[in-house]
Amino acid sequence: MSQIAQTVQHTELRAVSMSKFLRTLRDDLEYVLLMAPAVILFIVFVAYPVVGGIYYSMTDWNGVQMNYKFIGLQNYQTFIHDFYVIVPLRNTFVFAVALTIAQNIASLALAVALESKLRTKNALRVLIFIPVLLSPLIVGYVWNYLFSGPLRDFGLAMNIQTLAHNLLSNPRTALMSATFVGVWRMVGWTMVIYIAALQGIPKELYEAAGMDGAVGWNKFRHITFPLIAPAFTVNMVITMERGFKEFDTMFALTKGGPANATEVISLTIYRESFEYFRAGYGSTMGVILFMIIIVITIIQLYLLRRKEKDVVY
Amino acid sequence: MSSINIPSILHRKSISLGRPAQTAFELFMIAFVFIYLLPFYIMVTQAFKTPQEILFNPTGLPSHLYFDNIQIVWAKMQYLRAFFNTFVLTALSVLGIAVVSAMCAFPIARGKSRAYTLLYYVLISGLLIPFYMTLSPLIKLMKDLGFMDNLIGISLAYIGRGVPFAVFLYVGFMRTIPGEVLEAGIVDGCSPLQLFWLVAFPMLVPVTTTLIILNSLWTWNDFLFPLLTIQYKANRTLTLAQYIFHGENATQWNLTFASYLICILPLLVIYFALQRNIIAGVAAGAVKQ
Repeated sequence: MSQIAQTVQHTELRAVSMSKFLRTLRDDLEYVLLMAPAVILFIVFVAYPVVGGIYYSMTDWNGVQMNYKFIGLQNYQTFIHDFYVIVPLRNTFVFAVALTIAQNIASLALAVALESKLRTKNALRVLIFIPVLLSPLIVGYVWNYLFSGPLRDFGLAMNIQTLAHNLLSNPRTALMSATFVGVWRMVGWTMVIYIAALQGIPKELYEAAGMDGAVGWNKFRHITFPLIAPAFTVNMVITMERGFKEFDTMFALTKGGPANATEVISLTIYRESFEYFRAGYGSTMGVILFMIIIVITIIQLYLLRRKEKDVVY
Repeated sequence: MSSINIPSILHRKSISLGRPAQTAFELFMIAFVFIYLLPFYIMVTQAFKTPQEILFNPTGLPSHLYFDNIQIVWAKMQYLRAFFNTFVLTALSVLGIAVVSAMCAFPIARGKSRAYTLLYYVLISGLLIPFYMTLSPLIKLMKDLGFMDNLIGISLAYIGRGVPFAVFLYVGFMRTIPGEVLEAGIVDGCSPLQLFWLVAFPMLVPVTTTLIILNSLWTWNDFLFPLLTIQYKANRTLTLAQYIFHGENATQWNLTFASYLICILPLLVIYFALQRNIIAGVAAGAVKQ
């Protein structure tokens, strides 16, 4: 009797573990099925081209025919000694840093102003966000016209010397004018992120600080700013990255001119790859841009996150 | 005594400016936004002027509305065709990114094995890669796959490129779904696939909205990738049609401004209809980072 019971129990156990095994097998299979499309598309359209980019950066490929040679690190040596690459690299740095600083100051100021007790604040926010929607190409074209026509006329009429010429056709002012256009286009984006962060600050904190005698700038410096530090980190990283990758606006605004004053590295890579047919060398520049972006992002995150940790909430 | 009083007076001043100051500040901000949006005034007014009027009256209102510009541009750009192409490309890419990435994020957020963590890091490392590094190999790949001038193929490339950010956002949000909700689904006999479709995905509507907004702005306005993958006029997107139109008519400002206007108008209509969601979506996407 007991033996039969034992056997029954045994087979039951086996059946249970068998079905459990089948179920985990099914679960694993379904997990793989769920992940497959994204992983495959990622491998095909991101990972493979990255590996390809690194590989082609060590060839003399022209981007069209496949009879290229493997030339090792020769492109990288060329890059180091390439006089013409210093200008776009410098311009990219200046543009990215200027854009990061100007856009964050402007959008933070706007966010603080539009988070105060204005009756029209919602409407104003919605309006300031509009340029974000536009294609950067159109923004470039429109500002190209504005600088060449209406702004110059305005400068002449008002007798403002700096505006009385086309700022984009002067090598000394072109890059800063392009930065201004970049800020004009994207200031709404970072403003919205700052506003969201400002709204997360409890009102009682301000009241408490008011009791302690904190006012104006002090209040901003010691309460507002530490509490929006995460948004600050995000915005710094976003704008810096955008600055390094800027292409469309510059392409439409100045095409890199005058006299290479606004030639940024993305324009150079595009030209090398698709106009001068030196895709190998273009890829080398891409790999170097990639390394620059990684180093800068790590430094930024390290510095900014450390600052965030200093904050005592 | 005085040491307590002085700060509190200062405090009251700084928090609520007096009425006149408040009004002055409000007027200042309105004036600022007005100047900020002046390029749109130029854009709209130039689009309705005759070529001659743009020259002798560059900044004033048009003396009468000249609709020929819009008509000419509409025909020359093949506007409807370009609009349709852009719409299809954006819709396929944006929905594809959302579905494919949510599916992929589910096992990553739930799985306990190290392999999932590794996969997660591999996928989000794609966030750092500048597009320009992959440019030549990617275009060659598109040629090899026969995806040139193929809207479905191009949208597949957008989906692949959109996966890193979307997986990053989805994993973050999926980890906030309470475990009990999913356990209840398992007790009811859900398989992982069912658990994902019936329980998890419906709970992720807010992130999905954010992703759809951010990716729409990206694919709708993208220029370089369509420039390099689309050659036939019939397949052009709006931005590409804009670029080619501009190249052919660069000095005819009345026409180019009319083309900007008709490209921007549909976006503005959608924006004003959904502005709350769009602004909240952009903010949510960044805060989660």
